[in-house]
Amino acid sequence: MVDRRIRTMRTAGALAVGILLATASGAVAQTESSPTLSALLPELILREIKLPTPTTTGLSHSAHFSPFTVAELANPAVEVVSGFNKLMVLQLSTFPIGSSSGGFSYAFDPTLGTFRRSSTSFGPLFAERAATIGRGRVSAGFNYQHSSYDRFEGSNLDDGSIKFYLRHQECCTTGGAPVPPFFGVVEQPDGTLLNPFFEGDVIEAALSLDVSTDMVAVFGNYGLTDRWDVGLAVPIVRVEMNATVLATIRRLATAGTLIHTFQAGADVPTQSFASSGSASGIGDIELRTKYRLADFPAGGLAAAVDVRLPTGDEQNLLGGSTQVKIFVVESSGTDRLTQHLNIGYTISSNSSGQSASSSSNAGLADFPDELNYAAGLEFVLEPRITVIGDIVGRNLRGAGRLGLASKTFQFQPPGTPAPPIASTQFEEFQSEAGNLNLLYGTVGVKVNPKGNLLLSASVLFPLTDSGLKSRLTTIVGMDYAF
Amino acid sequence: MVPLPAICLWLCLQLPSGLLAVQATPPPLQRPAVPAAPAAPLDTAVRETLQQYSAALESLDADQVKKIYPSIDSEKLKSAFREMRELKVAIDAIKVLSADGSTARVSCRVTQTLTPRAGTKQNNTVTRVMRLRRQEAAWLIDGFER
Repeated sequence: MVDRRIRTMRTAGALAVGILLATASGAVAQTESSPTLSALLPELILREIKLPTPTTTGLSHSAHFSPFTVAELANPAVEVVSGFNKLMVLQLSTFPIGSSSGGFSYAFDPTLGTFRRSSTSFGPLFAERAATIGRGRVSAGFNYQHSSYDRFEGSNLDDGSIKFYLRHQECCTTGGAPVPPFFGVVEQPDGTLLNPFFEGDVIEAALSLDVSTDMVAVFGNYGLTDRWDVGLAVPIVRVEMNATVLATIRRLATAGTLIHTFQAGADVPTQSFASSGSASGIGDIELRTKYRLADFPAGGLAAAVDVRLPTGDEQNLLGGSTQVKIFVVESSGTDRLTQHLNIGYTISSNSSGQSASSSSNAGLADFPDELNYAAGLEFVLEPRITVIGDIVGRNLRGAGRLGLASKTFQFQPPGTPAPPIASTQFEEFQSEAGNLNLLYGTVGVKVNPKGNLLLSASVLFPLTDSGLKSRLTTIVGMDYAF
Repeated sequence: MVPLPAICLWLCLQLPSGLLAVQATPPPLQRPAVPAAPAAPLDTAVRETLQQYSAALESLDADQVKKIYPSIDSEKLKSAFREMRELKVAIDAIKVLSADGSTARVSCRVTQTLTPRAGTKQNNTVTRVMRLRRQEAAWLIDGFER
């Protein structure tokens, strides 16, 4: 018996180690391109989009649309791109880890005259149930989940629908001699984008972004007493990002000229810029504990605390948040149908306390407090199969939203004498204060093929358009009670 | 261990043949009617059987349970016991519903508290009606009616 247990534990341990090694080769964050993943988009949009450097003496427009290059962090484009990036980083770094509430329940068997383990419900997928594992018992398992993302705040991520507008640097004024090579332009800011006239141009940066995450979370739970469990979840995460920006010069103020072009001396108003990267490594390790306060038919009431440690590399979207989640768990029902309800609050420490007003911190997110809730049903299709449906909600307090707004761009059309100031409008994201509500649905199945082994498969799908929206997240897992 | 029938057979073979003949051909006697078991001894015997049954369940030993409840599926019971850390059993409200000397119907309330190896502690209380049969001096559980 003991030998069999040891063999089973060794097999499960070897399997988990194999998965870890396969998923996180090296288990050290590594990117394939120079910027970290949290800075990949800001660097691409706010630094890399440059015009060619002129080969002759004269004013260079090369970095006039690159706020990071010229350290113009007050450029409105910085706030918009950083806001977009932070909301995305926040969600990627704190994506929920599946629960390890698998388990076994018992019912009175009249033919035996005593209890027999009736494989009623095997527990929820992303929520917790009140049942505890029992004193001295150990359970271990893992979940693998794959997510890819296709929408952000209602806009498609991968087809160039999301557009940012790079304002020209407020670089110059006029007053010099109107002769070559500077034609009267002096490199001295004057507080307006209307003088000289070419400062009225903008570059439209249309983003196409592929983001995906793969995570293996290895769980272990131990029953300190019949009512008190402690546990550990170690996620190994891989994040991959491929971004392409189609930059188009909107010659609002320089129509008919080649002042702003992507190829010197030629009329090339568009150019693509791309950046990609991936990182893998240990994410934020979670310490879990749960205490069962009361027993109900097929359930009970429990209090639980999850502590998320900042072991993941924040710069590479592998984690980086310190969070304490305190929640209560209620579950009850009958042998075949049980319900569960979780309500809790997550207290977060801010990531680094660093200001985002420098380009190096533009990608870092401040992790907000969260209101967490989950509810669901477990239906015992047959003794070895449980079908589960959950709704999982996160209310990120004060995380803010980005909404599309019509923004006005003023410019000085060319001509002598100078024509009246003109304006045009483009739709662009704008920060809005408030909470970010994320709601997911999950549907899945847990199967008990043999002994105390549980296999699970499920999908998680977003129910709202808020924030970064994933396609179907697929999750498979294994859980074994020793 | 040598089975009881084998010991009997051996003893019979050791006896003098005359005695064996006497044993084999008893004088014709008027078969006395089996007296109904007095109420108090039956009640005591049933309680004793249920006490043994309760102790056997608590010992988580399927073979012990099978000695008192021979028709039970002991493999299924062993499988159930493997999942248990501890089982507490209390049997009360015992009533002899009927008895004819060799069988009895008994009603009782069975309360069990299970501490499983995996999972949470559970209680169950159920009123059961069981059939008992007399085997030599002992009463055994024949089955449950409900």
